[in-house]
Amino acid sequence: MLLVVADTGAVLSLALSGLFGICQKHFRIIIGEKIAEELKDIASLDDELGEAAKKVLEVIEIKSGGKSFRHGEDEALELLKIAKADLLISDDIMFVKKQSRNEKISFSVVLFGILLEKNIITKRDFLNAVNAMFMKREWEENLIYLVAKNILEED
Amino acid sequence: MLYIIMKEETIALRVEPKLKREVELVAKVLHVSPSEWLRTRLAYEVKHLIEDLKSQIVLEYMKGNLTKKELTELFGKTAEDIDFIIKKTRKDFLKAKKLATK
Repeated sequence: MLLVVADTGAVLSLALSGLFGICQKHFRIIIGEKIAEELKDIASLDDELGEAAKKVLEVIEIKSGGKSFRHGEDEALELLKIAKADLLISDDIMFVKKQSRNEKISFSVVLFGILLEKNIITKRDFLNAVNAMFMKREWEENLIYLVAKNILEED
Repeated sequence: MLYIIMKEETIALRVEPKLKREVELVAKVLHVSPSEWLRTRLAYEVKHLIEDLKSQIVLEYMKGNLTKKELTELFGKTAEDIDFIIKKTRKDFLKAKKLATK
């Protein structure tokens, strides 16, 4: 089973996609303590993101990055290293761009790509998940889902 | 005439009396002021229209119907991010194929 480190945005996107349960079943997804703190803050909001954060916190595995971090992304990078994870998923465009040399860092939709390749989900499931994410995030993040949707439709 | 106050800016809208009355009735039902309701609806619609238009532009770029130069003219620095996302997502799809065998 692939070991996946997630940051706040990525794990929330998965929760909003409707495929979080399937992802949890087929990947070992972990988050750091700083990310868990960020999720707890979001969980206090009385909206869809708050609900998604609560759902994630109930089931996700939380790992220590060995020290305290100011930014969740730094902790995720450390976790990727110390846990020898296969992937780090993030939908933070600036972060992924900054770390573009690190082959293990991908946008969250990569997990759907793997599930699709393994015939665990269908192309329709993938598109539905991306559409669900698209409806609930800001335009900049939506660019990732828009592009993924279009690449999938090209195939 | 309806006045919509947006922070420090004020936009004056000239509308048909019938539409003005409809706005007033809807606002009454929702227990908000007509200008508040109109302001919220306008902000929502304009935001979505602009985002939809921007998405269409990105799709046209992906299809090769717009050049990078044209994309940059429309989006400024964001064009670089768009280009990065397209390349990265294509790479991620290939990576997914490899990882699926693990």
